[in-house]
Amino acid sequence: MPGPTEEDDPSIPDTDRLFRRVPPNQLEPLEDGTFRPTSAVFKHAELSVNIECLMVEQGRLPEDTLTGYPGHYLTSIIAGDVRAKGHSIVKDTEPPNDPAHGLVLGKKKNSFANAMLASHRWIVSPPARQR
Amino acid sequence: MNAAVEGTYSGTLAFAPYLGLPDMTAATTPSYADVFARRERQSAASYRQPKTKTVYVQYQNRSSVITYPDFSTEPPPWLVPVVRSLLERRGVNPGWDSYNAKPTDAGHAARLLTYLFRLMRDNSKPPIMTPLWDGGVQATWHSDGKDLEIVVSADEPPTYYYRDEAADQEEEEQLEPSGFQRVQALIQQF
Repeated sequence: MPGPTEEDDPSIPDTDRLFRRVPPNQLEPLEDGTFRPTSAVFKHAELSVNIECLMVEQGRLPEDTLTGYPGHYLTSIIAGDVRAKGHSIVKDTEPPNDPAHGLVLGKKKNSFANAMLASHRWIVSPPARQR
Repeated sequence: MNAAVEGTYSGTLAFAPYLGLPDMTAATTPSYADVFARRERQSAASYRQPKTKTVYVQYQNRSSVITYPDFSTEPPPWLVPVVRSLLERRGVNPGWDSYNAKPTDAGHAARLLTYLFRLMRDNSKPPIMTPLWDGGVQATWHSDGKDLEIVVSADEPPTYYYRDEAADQEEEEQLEPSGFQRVQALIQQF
């Protein structure tokens, strides 16, 4: 596993999406009946993600990140947004990890997590609540 | 045991304050005391202190015993929703987030509840409780483009975070010692 000071991997494009599973207990209901992830999703010191360019190379759809995790949802953040906040992104594909696995390194401030929350895009979103 | 059932919450939440716990000791802690088991044991040792109250909260198949400052004859209205949120959402097993999150630590949850008792008024909106990857917990308020978080993580002092999107305003500070008054005022915005 990469150390916390490992340098950013420039082979991961700034435009790449980074895919992260969201469990049901890290969803937050919104006034319009939809859900968003809580900022807690993005606070892990070594934030596991699946890297888009690796998934494309492997011929996999983003939704494949959810394989084996029923009941979870899938969101995405942009690599360039992560780097703009000073965090490195590295590949971490050694087995038993997913072959598209990567890490966003470094201690996360609440402001980082909320910036990611503000710009995240659902890939597989939870169904809206009946209102 | 001196117990009185005071009512139900939304038809699913039994709510029964215990005004005294004379037969509850560390050796006889019941199996239903889970999230706040440590606090319950602490209260058992000091249950005769006049300024605290202990409640037993049950939600579906989960339950907790909580000791809190006894400001009035009734628990504050936000308490039951907060505890229910915590019981519903806490991380139970290692890896609960499908990665490597640690189970929610009862001590961190109790610390956050203690802060809420100090910060919230009876009419405060209950926050959503969310587990953190490191066993900590955060309380979150969100409304009209404003976000407030109180974060009790495993390895650093408690913090608060506030963002007002419309005003392009953002704050992130330690909760203690100087953040209390500010957070009290912020909570009342929700």
